[in-house]
Amino acid sequence: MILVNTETVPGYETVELKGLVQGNTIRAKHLGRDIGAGLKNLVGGELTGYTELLSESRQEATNRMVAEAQALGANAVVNVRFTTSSVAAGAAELYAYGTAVVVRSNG
Amino acid sequence: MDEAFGLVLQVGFLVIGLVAFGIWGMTNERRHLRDLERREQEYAGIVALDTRTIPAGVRAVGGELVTGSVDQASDYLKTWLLGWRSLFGGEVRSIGRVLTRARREALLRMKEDANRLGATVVVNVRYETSTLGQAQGKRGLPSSEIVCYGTALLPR
Repeated sequence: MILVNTETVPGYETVELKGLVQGNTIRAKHLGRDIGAGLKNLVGGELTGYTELLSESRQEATNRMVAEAQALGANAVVNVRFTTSSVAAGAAELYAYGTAVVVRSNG
Repeated sequence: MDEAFGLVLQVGFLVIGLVAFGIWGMTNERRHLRDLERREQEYAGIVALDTRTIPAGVRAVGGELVTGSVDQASDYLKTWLLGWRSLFGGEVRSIGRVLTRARREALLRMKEDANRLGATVVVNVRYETSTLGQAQGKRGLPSSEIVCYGTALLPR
């Protein structure tokens, strides 16, 4: 599965449009990480625990999007976009969406 | 007498906290900036563009999504200053610097990702910033997550 956030895949031509595919996940942060984050808010710096948590969650949302594309018989997703929103205190939604297409190599 | 002592103690703790965490935060910031400069030099060969098309002269046989993300917290002093600033309004430079630093970090991580694929050009780069709820109490600054993503052009 090819994922790009451009409208076409470089070096490939789009032969068929399959439509919009999406994947989301909502993650709550866990207490241990939250305490660590509370301390980081005093001294500044990166919240590594959260960075990891969100990267994993974003990967999960992407995987769900890819699964949807595969179900449609696509071999690439173009114009991929990510959005993040906090749905409640301590929980975030990671959302990935794009257009499933069938591409064929030019060369 | 006891009340006055309590007040002095409270103010004392606040001042000590602000100075200590302020210095700690500043040290962290300086170290991060030095680290950023060094790594930006290292990855200067990778070009990130926010245009959608492939630049002329670049041959690519495919593309792949690359991402870099960072979750950044401010420090106690900066958050405290922000509290004061919001009484009068105006620009909050210290917090702006924190976010700029986080964006540079996210871009670098994306470039590292592109480097692993052997790509030297990343097109259609997008930044996304979001807040992740209040990290500590109602008065604390919510931490910000910055994600930077784009399409790495795979060379032949």
